[in-house]
Amino acid sequence: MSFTWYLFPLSAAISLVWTASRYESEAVIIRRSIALTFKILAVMAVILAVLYVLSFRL
Amino acid sequence: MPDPRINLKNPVLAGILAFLVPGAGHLYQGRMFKSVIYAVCIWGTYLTGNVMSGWRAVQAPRMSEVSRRIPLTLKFAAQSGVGLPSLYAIYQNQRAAGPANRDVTSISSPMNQPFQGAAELRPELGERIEGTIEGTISLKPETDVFGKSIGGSLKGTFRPKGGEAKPIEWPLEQVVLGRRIQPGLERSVRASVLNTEGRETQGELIGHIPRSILDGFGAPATEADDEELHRKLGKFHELAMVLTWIAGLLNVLATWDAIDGPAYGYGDEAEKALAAQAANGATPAAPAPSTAASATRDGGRPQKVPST
Repeated sequence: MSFTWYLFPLSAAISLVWTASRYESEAVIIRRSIALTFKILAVMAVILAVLYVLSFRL
Repeated sequence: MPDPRINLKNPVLAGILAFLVPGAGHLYQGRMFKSVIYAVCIWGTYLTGNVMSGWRAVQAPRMSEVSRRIPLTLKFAAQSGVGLPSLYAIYQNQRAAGPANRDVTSISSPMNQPFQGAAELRPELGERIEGTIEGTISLKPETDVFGKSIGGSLKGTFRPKGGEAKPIEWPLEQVVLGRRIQPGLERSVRASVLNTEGRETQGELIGHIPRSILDGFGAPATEADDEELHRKLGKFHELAMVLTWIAGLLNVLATWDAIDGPAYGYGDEAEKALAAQAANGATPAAPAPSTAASATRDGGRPQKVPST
């Protein structure tokens, strides 16, 4: 199993813990941690795309 | 000022509990939702890293090594965010450095353990035979002219290279068990394999038996142990270490939350403010041109429009 798959549960865990340390309301924690997870994955996808383009044909 | 709805009880005790066992501090405070989140996320990350590394990811530097082995010190500093296992690693350093922690050539009582390993046989007539073995090793204390030693037998299945598996039962002598306190859950075993009559040595056996997690977790590693781990795991070794660091750093956030409450507040302050405004009869109207600039400066919050 490629270790890239670990990125998804790891992003979710980091988002949950970070958001839980910021707020107390359960609904706010869940809503904001889902949004943060997607932001983290989106940023990493952008970085992946940039690295792919830079390394094309290397 | 902390939100009065959040009861921190004794924050110092809660912080200590949260540091030692992620989730315990919040459980003590009655903040069940957060206790579950912190426990599942932090323990999940930490245990995943440990299982991936065969329980060898956590190692504490000795006091004399703290300034010499900076990378190990920094790694352990991150891992020490998860308190109890890291404190145990410091205790394991003491145990591993003790005079009793060395290769074992005598035991006080018999033992039976599952065994996995390899053997090389050198029969008197014929070629050398190598293969893998799986079975049960039975060890017992023995005494001979040279003193105390370990003997026993191995019963299981021998699969020679390029051949078919066959059941075997070999007498053993000069058994050497690896150190008790060593990283990982596999304890090395070496022995001489005797022939069926139990008199002549016909080969060598090397393999491992299970090691208790209390002996294997957090034990300090030698360079040879590290090299073996890199060889076995490859890039998963780095991932395993990183997961334990992340868990430790996340528990710093959880511990802070236990001591001081959430950093930004309860989280429903904006909604409550809007609800209060609606209850007072003020409706958020389109801002007049003269007030548009101030609304922007204020970050777009709804402005109270004075009634005419």
